[in-house]
Amino acid sequence: VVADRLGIALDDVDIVHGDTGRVPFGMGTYGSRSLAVGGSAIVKAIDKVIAKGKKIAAHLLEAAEESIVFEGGQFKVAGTERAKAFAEVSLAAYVPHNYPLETLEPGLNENAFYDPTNFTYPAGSYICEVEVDPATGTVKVERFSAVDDFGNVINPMIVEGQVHGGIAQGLGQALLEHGVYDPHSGQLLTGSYLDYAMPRADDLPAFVVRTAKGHALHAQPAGREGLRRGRGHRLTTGAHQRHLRRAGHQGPADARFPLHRVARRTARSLRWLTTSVPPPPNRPASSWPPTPTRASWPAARACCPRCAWACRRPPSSSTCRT
Amino acid sequence: MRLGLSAPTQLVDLQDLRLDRIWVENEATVHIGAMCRHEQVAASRDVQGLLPGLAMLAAQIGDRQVRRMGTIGGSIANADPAACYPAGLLGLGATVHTKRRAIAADDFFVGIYTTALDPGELIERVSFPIARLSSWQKFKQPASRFSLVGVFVNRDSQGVRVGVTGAAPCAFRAHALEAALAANWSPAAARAVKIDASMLMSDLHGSAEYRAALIPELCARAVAAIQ
Repeated sequence: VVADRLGIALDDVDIVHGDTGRVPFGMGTYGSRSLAVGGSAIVKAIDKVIAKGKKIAAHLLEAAEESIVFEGGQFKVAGTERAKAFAEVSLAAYVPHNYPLETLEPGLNENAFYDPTNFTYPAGSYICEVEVDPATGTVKVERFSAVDDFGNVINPMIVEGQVHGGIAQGLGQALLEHGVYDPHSGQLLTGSYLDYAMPRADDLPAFVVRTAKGHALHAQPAGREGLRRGRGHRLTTGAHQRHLRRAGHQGPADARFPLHRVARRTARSLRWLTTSVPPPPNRPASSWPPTPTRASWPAARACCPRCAWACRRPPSSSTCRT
Repeated sequence: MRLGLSAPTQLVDLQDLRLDRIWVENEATVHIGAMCRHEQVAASRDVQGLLPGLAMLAAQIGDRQVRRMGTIGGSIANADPAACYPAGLLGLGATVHTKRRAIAADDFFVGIYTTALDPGELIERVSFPIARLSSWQKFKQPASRFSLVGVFVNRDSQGVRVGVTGAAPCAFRAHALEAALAANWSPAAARAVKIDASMLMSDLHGSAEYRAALIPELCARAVAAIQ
């Protein structure tokens, strides 16, 4: 962010962190908002540096301050070739032999604070294809695709890694992990990985991960929305559990679920899915949805019209997930 | 020791006893030394050709480290209720040879972590009548990857033998499945069998009823793999 904004090399930027004696006031990340909020503060501080730099450059270039523009690391007099590099301006700020000392303090050191007026809401869509074995109730994830809008992605590798981790965590929570306590003694029964099913590489497919830049609901100066650590995980868990709850799957102890109900609910779930999507482009609308239609399965939305989960609880009850 | 359940202060190294040979006798019996590693059993040409089900079983035990160090003798002497080998021994009608005597597999597995071995009695080898029509189906417990249920099916001139592990405190033969398959060798016949859940284990990974439902299903898949 700093190097891009100032047009200087990455190596010319030092990041100081981990020492409260050397950095200004700060707090915890609170929902992975470090870059969305801290990054915005950095941008604001840089804008102050550039504004002061323009005053210094105007003096050095003997031009009016309003005519100075900052582009590609250069303070330029608009419409001319006359320019001073950022490094030259900062040297003049700290070694002020040729400097407007009467009107301007030396130095090029700025602070900025930033507190967002509202939250950012990154959006994303995750799709997975699972195979349910009706005879055993096991679920195998065949394919998984994730597309997210995180705003400006600063480090794509880290972002992809976080999404990978989130999906693995989400799939683990939806399909495998389950902390179980003995109901009588309170003893943790899943105290080791012999009983607590952590997802492993062979439990997961190769993920397809993409980012798409859209429009932030409340743009931050840094243009960056929070990439939450648990983000993929939340979407993944939701997508899976919703889907699998319909399929009659109950997580790692699904073993207990009566098998005929697994099969029946899977069929019902697939029917619901096929009737919930618009017709494919190569199919006439008249042949869609395929029978049986939604009307033959009205219970899907019985809770309330808005309930995206079709939880089928009484309308507006406190337990309805809407 | 690997599972952290035991920390003995003294260990006796049996490596020099050379109990790690696999050999075939008269084209009728395969002998597997007690200290043959799972990996060795899985990779043996003799086992793959004459006991294909046992080669499959050995190849799916634990993970790579376990298969590199774990032995058939260690597995059956420990008699973990979810260990794979006991089902294979029962399904194949194997004989366990110790320093003093020969014990039929049907008599060897007595209960949970309990065998017919006397204190200090050392297993030398296990012998298997050849069984070209044998297969193994394992339903892994998702965390430990032990058998939640494992079913070994073997069809030979004497009839059909079905060994089951993971489902009860001790590996056992599913006589109902054996009878059904002897009368009609087909996956459908196996699926039609109802297993009594009252003798089976329940734990947080699966109820006795679920295990009872898995046994015929896995058996049917093993039969389908043989056909």
